[in-house]
Amino acid sequence: MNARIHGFALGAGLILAAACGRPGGESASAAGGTSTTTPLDRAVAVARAIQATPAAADSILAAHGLTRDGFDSLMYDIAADSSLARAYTEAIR
Amino acid sequence: MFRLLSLAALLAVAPLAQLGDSLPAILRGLRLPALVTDARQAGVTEAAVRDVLDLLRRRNLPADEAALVLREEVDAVHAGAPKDNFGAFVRRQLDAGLRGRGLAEAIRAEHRARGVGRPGDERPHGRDTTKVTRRSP
Repeated sequence: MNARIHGFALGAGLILAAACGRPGGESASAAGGTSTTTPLDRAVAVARAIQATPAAADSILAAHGLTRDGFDSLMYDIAADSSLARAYTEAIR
Repeated sequence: MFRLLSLAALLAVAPLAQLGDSLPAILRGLRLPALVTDARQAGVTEAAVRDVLDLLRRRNLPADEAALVLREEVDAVHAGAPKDNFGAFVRRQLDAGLRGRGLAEAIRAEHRARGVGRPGDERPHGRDTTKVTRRSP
């Protein structure tokens, strides 16, 4: 029963992550659907999804194509750029 | 059939055991950019901020451990520690082999020894910016 509930939670997290990955539908170009997601978009989408569903954190990272190392690298990249870090901070506040 | 169900249950539960370990670290890691923004807004120079980030990254500290370190440094600046010294002690302690919470505690102890913050307080100054706050709908 617990495994089933956890399965539902993880599934919900994946769906949420996919939904949050494209805020406002701006991440994919109209022609051909090529992803134009920036690191900032990606970081904000991941952060918002995890804040909304912490129990699905690992699934959310996976849904955004991030390993733990990739996640660490993304956070460092955002932090190192003052304008990106400020935008990220304001977006998740 | 029973074996298949058992295997499926194991596969579903195994990542959850790992999640219990990794969730706090992921939540802390998410705060790294906010902590760095806090440092910049507190008046720490861009060069000093980048030096510390580069140092932590070169030493392969994950984002959550970097966030622990940055929180201590930012709290110290808010409590009056000199901004031009930002990261100097971190470098020395990393050279001595400290990491993670041990490093964060050493930084806190160092700042206390220099009279920054109040003795006996666990979180004496600044905002706890590693806490994740949920957005209101």
